[in-house]
Amino acid sequence: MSTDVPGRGMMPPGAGGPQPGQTPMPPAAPNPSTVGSQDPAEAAQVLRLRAGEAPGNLVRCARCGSSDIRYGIEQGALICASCRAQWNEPLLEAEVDLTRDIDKLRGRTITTSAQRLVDETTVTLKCRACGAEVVLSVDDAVQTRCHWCRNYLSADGRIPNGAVPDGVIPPTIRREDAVETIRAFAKDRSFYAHPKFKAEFAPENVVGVYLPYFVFDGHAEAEVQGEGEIQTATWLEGSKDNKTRYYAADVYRLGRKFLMSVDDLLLESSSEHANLDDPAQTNNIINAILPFDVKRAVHYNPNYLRGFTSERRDVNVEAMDAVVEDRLLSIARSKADDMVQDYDRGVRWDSERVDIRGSRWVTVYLPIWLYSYYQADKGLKHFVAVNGQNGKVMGSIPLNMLRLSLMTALVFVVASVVGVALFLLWR
Amino acid sequence: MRVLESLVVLLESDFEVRILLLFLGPISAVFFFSSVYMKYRNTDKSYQFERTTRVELSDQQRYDTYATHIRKTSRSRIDGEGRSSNPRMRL
Repeated sequence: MSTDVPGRGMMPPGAGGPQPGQTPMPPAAPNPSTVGSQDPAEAAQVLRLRAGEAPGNLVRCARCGSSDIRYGIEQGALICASCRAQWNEPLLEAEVDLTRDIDKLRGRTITTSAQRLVDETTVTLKCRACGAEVVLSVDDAVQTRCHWCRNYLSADGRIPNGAVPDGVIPPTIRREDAVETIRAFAKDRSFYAHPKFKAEFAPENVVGVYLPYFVFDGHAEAEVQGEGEIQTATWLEGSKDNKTRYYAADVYRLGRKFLMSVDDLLLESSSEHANLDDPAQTNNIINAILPFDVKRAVHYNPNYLRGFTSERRDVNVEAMDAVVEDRLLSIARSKADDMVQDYDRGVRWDSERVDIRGSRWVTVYLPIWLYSYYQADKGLKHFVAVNGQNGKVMGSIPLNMLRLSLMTALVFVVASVVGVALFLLWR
Repeated sequence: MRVLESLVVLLESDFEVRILLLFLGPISAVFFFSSVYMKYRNTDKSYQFERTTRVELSDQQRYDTYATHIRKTSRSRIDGEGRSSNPRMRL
């Protein structure tokens, strides 16, 4: 028998006192997998932002008073169609701190736009220019034109129907660039693409969409417990033709407990796109182009949405508890994994727990260039999506299953022949 | 890395490695099909919030308590490691 003792030190990870920034924690009995959360009955503190204070339905150019304003991606600014004045709304960060003091959060803090939704998706806007009353369905649009004076009227934040968020990230990727990105993405996947998809593929049909998200900041205590092993020896046993490798190892009970300040976790607030396992559409594609740099979000101004379609928020903060806890547990486990690299035979976590001490919820619209293709025989809507801020692309291309199956069969036959030949030759 | 470790263990054992050659066809076919499928459909892609979200840790506490010694085992990794290897799978 030969014995190979690994060259690395065999000090247990906890030996020599705690690591910098860490303090010893008394061993505790393993808990079952539990999730703590804020008391649902606890009333949320409401942050009142300027955007939530009913800016009025008529947003005018400060220089000439025109309401014909749209966002120019090349200029990176709102542009008045009448006097060509250019400006941007102030950064959202300037009013609500999206970065600091997360560790001081207690309970749930929400902005006015994140409050519980009311079922009022058809609103009557009174034109402040001529006094006419115009009906707007926020399910379809957030802007309309007064049929008398032709001014642009916008839904405002007086009614919490999910149409008006706190902030918006203006796109920096031009439509033409998004089209080319999508075209290149599909071209790279053309050989096994479904023939009908190839025939009907028209990336020029890409649409700019603003999708609603919650920006979540949270402070939480996390704890994971489990068992880890460190190899102390390894050796081979048996004869030349019949050898087995064996190991000796030290086993440790271990735990990691820490406070986490989570900054700008993005959560879908449109129920249509929140379900990543939806069998009817490839929602994971839209999810995969996250994240966005939320620090660049500006105050909501409906004119940023001109030329884009948008979906309104239809999910309440209260309904997000389970999702948030799941995300935080995943983050905690990921961080804990980074802390146990010394256990060279691995760690098995047995329990996990997270208690949310405080959270802050802000609502934003994020820009996405979206190409969709409905595969009728599968009843599946495929998306190719481009992040409107950084150009990251992801997509789902319908497959030509016949061609792929035939090629797979060919690979099977060729590899089998090669395998059998090598088997016979290898003596 | 773990695949490599497993391969080394397999090569060192008394297992007739050349028998694996008989499975080269099915293994290659599965690998080919799944890699093309994933490249086109990207069903495994999602927001990597664990890595991309800014997280500050504080008040870190830990314990590592020696429990026992395994004198001899043929397992190259801790038992049950797969149950918690994916941070997104709840325990």
